[in-house]
Amino acid sequence: MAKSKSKTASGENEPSIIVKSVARIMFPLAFTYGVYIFVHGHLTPGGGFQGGTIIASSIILIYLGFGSLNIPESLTTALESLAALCFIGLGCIGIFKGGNFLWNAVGLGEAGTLLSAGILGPIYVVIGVKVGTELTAIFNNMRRKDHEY
Amino acid sequence: MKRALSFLLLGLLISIFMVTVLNVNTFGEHDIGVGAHYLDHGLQEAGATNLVTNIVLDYRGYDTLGEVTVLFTATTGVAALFWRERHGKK
Repeated sequence: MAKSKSKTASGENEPSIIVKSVARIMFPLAFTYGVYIFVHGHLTPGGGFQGGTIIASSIILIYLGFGSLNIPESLTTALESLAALCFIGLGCIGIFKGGNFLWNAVGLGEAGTLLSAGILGPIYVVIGVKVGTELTAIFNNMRRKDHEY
Repeated sequence: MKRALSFLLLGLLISIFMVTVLNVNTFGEHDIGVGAHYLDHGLQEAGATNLVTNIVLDYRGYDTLGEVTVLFTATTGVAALFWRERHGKK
């Protein structure tokens, strides 16, 4: 970052073709891997926090390769708030079924399948979306406009 | 004299505590059943094959809700820090 400060004005600091190609190839793979991690959070190691972090880093990779990143602030805010509300709503299912908040009221299903463990899977999906958008929003806030090449 | 007496008292207290602690459990073992309960009944009670998910989301769901809230607060703090630079008057 400090190095690019001196060169941004002249525009010489374009990322090399290697960085661009790697970013173009790796972004869909990393994004899909992040989604896989949080969708399978209740079956395999990993979960919402880890998957969300992978998604956010894939978006940072796009920024490194192409220099500009036009994610509207309203989109990250809306997704983040929606995910938080979904978490609370999934927790409230337990109350409506006559138990405690966050009670796993839905049937557990067959262990090991994707649609098992009641509300745990959906909660991890929601956490993944929330963490991914939040870390993207942090990065979006911290980058400087005049550091873009 | 006073000093020696205080050291003596301190040593006595420490030895009482040490003897008490050593008598609670044999060294290297414990009789707290919660970990064994998670291992034995986690799959039946919570239903996820990933035991960490069982603990994090089922047994300690409130903790995870708080964690997500902490992350939300961190994002809000960063946005508040950089708000003036991005939106304020130049």
